Amino acid sequence: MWKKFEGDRNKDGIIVEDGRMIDITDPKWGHPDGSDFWDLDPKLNEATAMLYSPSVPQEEKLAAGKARQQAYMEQWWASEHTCEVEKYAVPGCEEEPDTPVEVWVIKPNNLKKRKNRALFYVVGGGLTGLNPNAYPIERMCEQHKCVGIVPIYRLSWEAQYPAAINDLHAAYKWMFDNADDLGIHSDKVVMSGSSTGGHLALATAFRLKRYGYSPRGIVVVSAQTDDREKDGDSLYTGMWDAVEQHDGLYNWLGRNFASNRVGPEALPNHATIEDCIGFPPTFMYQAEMDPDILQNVEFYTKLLKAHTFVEYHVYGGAHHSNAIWAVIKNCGEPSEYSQRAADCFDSNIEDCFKYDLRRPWVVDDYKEAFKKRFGE
Amino acid sequence: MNVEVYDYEGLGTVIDPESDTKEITVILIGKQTVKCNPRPGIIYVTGGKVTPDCAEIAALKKYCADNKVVLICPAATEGEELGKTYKYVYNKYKDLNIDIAKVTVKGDEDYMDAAQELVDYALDEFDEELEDATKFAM
Repeated sequence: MWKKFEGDRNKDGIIVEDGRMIDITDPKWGHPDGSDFWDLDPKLNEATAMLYSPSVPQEEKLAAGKARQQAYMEQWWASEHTCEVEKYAVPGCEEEPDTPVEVWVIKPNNLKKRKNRALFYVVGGGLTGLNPNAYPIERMCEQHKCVGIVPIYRLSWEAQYPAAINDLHAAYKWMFDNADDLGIHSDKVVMSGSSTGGHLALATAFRLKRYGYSPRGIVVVSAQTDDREKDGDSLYTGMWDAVEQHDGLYNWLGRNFASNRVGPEALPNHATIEDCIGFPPTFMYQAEMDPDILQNVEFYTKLLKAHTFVEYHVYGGAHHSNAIWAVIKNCGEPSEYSQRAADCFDSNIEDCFKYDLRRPWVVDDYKEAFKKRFGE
Repeated sequence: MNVEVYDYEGLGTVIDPESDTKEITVILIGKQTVKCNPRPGIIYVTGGKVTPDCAEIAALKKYCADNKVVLICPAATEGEELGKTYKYVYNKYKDLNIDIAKVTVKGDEDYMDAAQELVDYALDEFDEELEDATKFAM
């Protein structure tokens, strides 16, 4: 057993039997150009892990989580910004109307006077932390000449599913309803995020689809797509490994964890192919050792079968917080290797803005075929 | 040089000089001749003065041939209707062998406001950079 679990096979009640997981913190598993972060000290992760640990009392999680969020926010507001940042309190969505949501609007200085592109950016952090300082939001807004919309959604220690999805839904609805005032074009919205940001962007897109919204595209990195482990994955340790993903999502879903009774608005791979018909164009960037990589591939195949425009990029020898993502989500030192991935990622965001890759006829074709087969 | 003049989707008139061509290799099939060197396009707003039979057509054809440029001349005079022409160009620029980044909007003296309205519409609705409309006399 490797150092992380040495002498602690029953870490928080999770049994990891000998030989069931592979220690990918050994650099021999990594792509040589992206081996940074392979030797992360697990001690560094303890403050995060306690926020979703089932053995930590809820009051302790709340106090620690609030303190950590406050520190992140103080750091953000004390930092020098290259864009104008405005903060709004917006009304809750239809499913939770009495809960307002904080939304930030990021405006770079290279915008047009009106009808700008919008990047609906979901900050990641395992549903335990929302650290805007760790993501290059302002750089992305400047690069793509777009208004950034950043919802401050509730985390798992504050409220379980579907709170975060309700918050993101509320933020999207508000943005859509106030597009003119915000200087954006409501039909030029691209969603993006990394890790939990990617997970929630995809899951929220299913919610938005149910309410008739159609974002122009979704570009995500290392998105979690399922809470149900599959034989053949969930086998790696490292930063955000299978155990952490298990506990993180368990804390968010509670008794609904690993249940087929919750749909894709919780985890995208709970979708059926039918659910995916009419889903926005999707670009996924994943690491070989993401804990749910097989479910990721499965989700990709569902989108394919639903005739969604979809691209899937998976990086060999990479884990969830590998240096390959250094430019996209500040994991490690930027290098030529990480820049390559970031350039591809950025070009996909640009594609979504520039071209309308949506396929509305797929929905019509499906309805027509359904009618032909089953009648009115 | 051969210059075609034709109606586009009932929206107006295109003046289209012959494109350069090149031969490309197609896997398993062999060689194929395709258009190359996409040309700049000018959306020329005149309120429908340019038609295949107008008096200036010979001069306009010569201008297009000499400058290797495609003129797209909408019949419409106001924003939304003019927007259909931009949409046509945006959706068909590959078939038209036009460089979409080199599309400009021009108007004659009577329709400069309409031409600028089209620029504003295109900037709002499409994802291309466009310069302000300029005057162009037949």
